[in-house]
Amino acid sequence: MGYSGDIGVAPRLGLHEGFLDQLGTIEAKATTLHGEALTGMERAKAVLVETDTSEQ
Amino acid sequence: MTPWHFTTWLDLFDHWQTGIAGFLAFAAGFGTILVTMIIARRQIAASREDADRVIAVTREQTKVIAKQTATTVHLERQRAAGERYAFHATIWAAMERVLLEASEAKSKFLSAGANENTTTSKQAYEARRHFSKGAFPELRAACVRYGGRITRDLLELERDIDNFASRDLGSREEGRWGIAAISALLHDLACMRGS
Repeated sequence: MGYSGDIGVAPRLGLHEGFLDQLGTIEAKATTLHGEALTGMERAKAVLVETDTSEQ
Repeated sequence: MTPWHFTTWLDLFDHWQTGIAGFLAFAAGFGTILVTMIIARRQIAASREDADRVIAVTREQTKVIAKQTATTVHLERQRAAGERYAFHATIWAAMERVLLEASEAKSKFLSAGANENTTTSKQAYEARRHFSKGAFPELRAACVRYGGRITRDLLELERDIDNFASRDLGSREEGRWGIAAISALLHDLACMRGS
């Protein structure tokens, strides 16, 4: 049930409605950002390697 | 008039003194011009040497400055790339965490045995509050410098997580019953009685 048995103490209940849809949206956005971060890391790494090589 | 003929040296000089004086004047003028030309050439050569020296020094200085500038640009590029890498690595790690927490939240929610009869649960509350948003404040600050398009995506994700977490039926005032909580409780009791 999720609520406390104590009188006068409010239970903290989360809504079920739209839970999985919202979670799916969050996962999709996090996955997109994850991919963008990976691309950014690769680009920055390429610049680092290039500058290291030109330094030598 | 008898033509002149040599008798004594003195007479020769006396007779040809104008011509001799003219010749000496011409020689003196020529000599002056020659000496002036020699001096002028030496001065020009000396000035050219000085100018060449100054140009050579300036060229060396320019080379040194160019090298320093190249080194500065190189170091700056390296530093920027390093910071950019760290920024993206932080985003990557934060998103890894968000995805992991999303998976945990889903498991937690499904463990509540959510079905059509129940509209709320404590597990759903905990699952909705499961996101820690680790490193989000630092990323928000770093986005000002490096973010670009990521800034918008990150802010949207944070807003979604906050909206997701806020969908609960606890009372606004901590420790007090809310109308929504009571209705949800009554609904769940009705469902239990029905089943």
